[in-house]
This record gives sequence, C-alpha cells and structure tokens, in this order.
Amino acid sequence: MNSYPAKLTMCCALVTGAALWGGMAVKFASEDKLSYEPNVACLKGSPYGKIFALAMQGPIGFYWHEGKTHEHASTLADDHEHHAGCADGCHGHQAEAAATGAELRDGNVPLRVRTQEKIKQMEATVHRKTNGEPLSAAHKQYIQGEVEDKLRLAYELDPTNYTNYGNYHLFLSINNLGRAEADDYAALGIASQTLETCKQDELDPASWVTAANAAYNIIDHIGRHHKDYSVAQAKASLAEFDSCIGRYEELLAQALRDGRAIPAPRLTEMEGRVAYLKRLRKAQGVYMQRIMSNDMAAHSPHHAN
Amino acid sequence: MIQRKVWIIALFCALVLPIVLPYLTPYESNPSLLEPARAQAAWGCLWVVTIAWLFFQAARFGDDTARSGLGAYFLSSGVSGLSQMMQIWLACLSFLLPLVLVALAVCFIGAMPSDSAQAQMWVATNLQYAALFLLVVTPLMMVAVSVGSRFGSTVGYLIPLCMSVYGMYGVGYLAMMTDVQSNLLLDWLYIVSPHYHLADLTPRLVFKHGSMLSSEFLQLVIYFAGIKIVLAMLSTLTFQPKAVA
Repeated sequence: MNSYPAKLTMCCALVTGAALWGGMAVKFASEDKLSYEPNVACLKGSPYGKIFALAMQGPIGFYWHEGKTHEHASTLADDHEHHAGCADGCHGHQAEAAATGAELRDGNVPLRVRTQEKIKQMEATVHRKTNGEPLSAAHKQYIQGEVEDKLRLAYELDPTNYTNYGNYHLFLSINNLGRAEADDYAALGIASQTLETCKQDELDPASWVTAANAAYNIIDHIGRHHKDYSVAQAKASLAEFDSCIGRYEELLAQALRDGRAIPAPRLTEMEGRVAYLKRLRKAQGVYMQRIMSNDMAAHSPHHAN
Repeated sequence: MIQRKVWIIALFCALVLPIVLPYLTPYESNPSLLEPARAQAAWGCLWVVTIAWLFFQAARFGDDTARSGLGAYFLSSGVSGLSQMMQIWLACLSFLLPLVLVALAVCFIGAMPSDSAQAQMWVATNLQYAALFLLVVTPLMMVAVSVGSRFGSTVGYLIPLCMSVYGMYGVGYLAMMTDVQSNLLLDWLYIVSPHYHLADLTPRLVFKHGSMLSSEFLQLVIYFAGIKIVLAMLSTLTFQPKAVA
C-alpha cells in the first residue's frame, strides 16, 4: 500500500473517478436532469399515498382549531355534563354511549368504559388552553402557513381524494386565518390539474367524484369571472361536469357488477356528494344560462344559442 | 434459537412487508393498486433495511476488526489492509445480495404484468433499478467499513447514513434553496453533491413509466461508477486494520 506504484495507481483512480463524477454531474446539470422535487419513498400519488392522505386529515384539523381537535373541545366543554352542542352528536359521549342506558341509570358504568373516558379526558386536558390572550397576527399567519402546507401535502399525497382536494381548494379560494386575499387563480389551477389527474382513473368511481367537484369549481370560476370567458368555454365547462357525473355512474355500476367491495359509509358519502354537486350544478346552470344570454353574448364571437 | 439473529427482522421486512402492506391500500375498490404497491413496498423496504441495518453492520464489522486485534493478527500473517477491507465488504454483500434478490422476486412474482411486452419492460426496469441500487449502496458500505475501522462504529454508521439521506432527499431541498436565491457556491455544491435520487427508480415502477433508455441508463452507470471509484479510494486510504491506542 505504501509503495510508489500503489500510491500512483490510487491517485490515478481518484482522479479518474472524480473526473467521471464531476463530468457527468456537469453534463446532467446542463441538461437539467438534476432538478427534482423530493418525494419521500415515492409516497405522493402512490397507493400508500391514499392512506397517508386520509391520515393527514387529523393533523390538519388540529392546526385549524389552533392546537386541539373537535373531540378535545367537546370533552373539555362538558366534563360529563351534557351541553347544547350534544344535541347533534357529541364525540365526548361516545364511550358513554357504549354503556347501556340501564347501566348508566344505575351508576354501574363498566370499568372499560370509565377507563376509556378517563384516558380521553386526560388527553383533552393536555391540550387545554389556559392562556386567555388571543393569538397575535404573526402567530395566526404562521398557523395559516402550517395549515396550507399540510393541506397541500394531503392533496399531493392523493390528488384524487375528494375530501383533501375540496379542503385545499376551499382554503385557496377563501380568506381566513389572516390570509391577505383569496387566490382565485391558484384555486382554478388546482381544479384544472385535479380534473386532468382524476380523468386518468379508469377504475375507481371516487376519482370521478373528485373530477366532478373540480369541474364544478371551474364552472363556478367561469361564472364569477364571466367577462374573461367565451360562451363556448362556459358551455364546455358545463358539459365537462356532466360527462364526469356520467363516468362516475358508469364506473360505480361497473364496480358493483364486478363485485368490488365499496364500504357502505364511503358509498353513502360519495352518493351524498354527487347529489349535492348535481344540485349545485342545476342552480349554477340556471345562472350560467342567464349570464350567457345577457352578459357574455355581447363580447363573445362564439355565442350560438 | 432466534435470539441475536437480526437477519430474521431484515428478511421479515424485505419479504413479509411487501406482501402485507399492499392490503392497507383501498384495493377493494381499485384492485389495480395491489401490484404497484407490492413493488413500491419491496424496494422501499430494501432501501430502509440497507440504510438502517446493513450500513450499521458494515461499520460494526470494521470497528470490531480493528478493536479486537483481529486486523492486527491478519496483518502480521500477511493479509494486507486492502484485502481485509475487501473481505469485510464482501461479507456485507453476502447479506445485501439476497435481499436484492428478494425484492426482485417480489416484483417478478407478485407484480408481473400479464401482457408480454409490458412484462419484458417490467423485468428490464427492475434489473436497471437493481444495478443502480447496488452501484449506490455498495460503495457506501465500503465507506462504513473503513470509517468504522478508524473512527468507531457510530461515526462509521452515521457518515454513510447521512450521505445516502442527503443524496436521496437533501439535495432536493438544497435545489429549492438555490431556486430562491442564486448563489454560485450553493449552485456548485448542488452539482457536485452525490445525486443518489437518480438511482431511485421507484416512481418508474409505481407509475409504470417503463424502462430507462439504454443510453441514459449508461450515463447514470458512468456517473455512479465515478462516485464509486472516489469512495473506494477514499475508503482504502481511511481503512485501519489495527486500532491506534
């Protein structure tokens, strides 16, 4: 190892290696092959991304509610006393609900239920806010940034998930938590991008619910900024929505025919969303008809009614 | 009987997780998710097992050889430092290669496309991936052995660990930084960093991009061979078969 030829060989090898490494790196940099966005374990957009996208909804709620969840809030609010909010279902009383009415009347709550309740209560107390001061503007802005990052991440993990798409789109199109102003065009960009992604799915009807949602958001955008669009574009947006709903119904029927198991709550949720979107589309259709024949006709060369 | 047999955990991760994890995805409503999920889990587990366990083993072997006096003994019996390092490194490869074969087997048996042209492409992509993966991790394993022998197993483990994580993800964040503000130094740091993310072909498998063009694949092989030579030489210089008191 210490002989002169060995040292020379090593030096030559080092120089060769460094030349190959550096040379190729410079070549790749000039061809712009080195630029990339990190996607840890390829999670974003992958089958596992779908699970993590669902799991992200908890942390988003936690930040949105400034450090506690609905469940913490209701557990702390009642401390076993029923309150007005319990009328429409209170998370804090789920454990109590597990005990039968007779057991509760007798004060004979099973140890299992009492322990579950106690653990929940302890968890809620960890998040109890004792500082009466409201958050400063800068702090609110920080939380808003965190919420935005988490919403974006959840969306990127699974762009075909209608909840995550809906949340992210809504966040972009409103001004809340100290946002300076709503970003209509970013929201439109996300809607168009989502529509294109979801239209690739040939199997899962849920992706087409998201597609229909995005298509509705585009119609809504055109409705609000109708001066920038032609009648043909407005009509195309309405047709796009209708075709998404049609494709959803086809794929759902296909899935049921193939015997693919769609969990009942998910099916109910999808059906509910689609029914809601159809109602929105109907109302929006009437509005669009009116603006197409009144406002848009004047500046549109394509108006053919 | 199974005490102190860490390979069981490694084999469990490499073999059982790619079979079990895909069933966590919403495959009931979309059965086409299963195959890409298997391939993703197989390669993901291989990366994790290699980075978390094999680099540590390599560093510990290097450390043990120097510390126990075994290296000094071999040196006195005429086995050179270079030869010792190579033998420890090959011993580590004897763990790594079966794990790579397991990942390939999961992809070939559990996720092979039915169409023959697609199947051919799938095999080619997986073999390209295996080649790039080995070109990236084997030199880092040598670094672990040699740094472990000179600086102890903790440092020997941390250096290849940091290098691989930096090369896989860190450089991406560095790129974001250089995009915001252009800085000559950062730009060059970015270019000469080891871009290990180029060897991560998981997205090609998950999103069915097909195999790489052979000319572009060859360029990557040359690039990683360059890094391999540099790291191998530096490892040879660093390896120390007997501990200095």
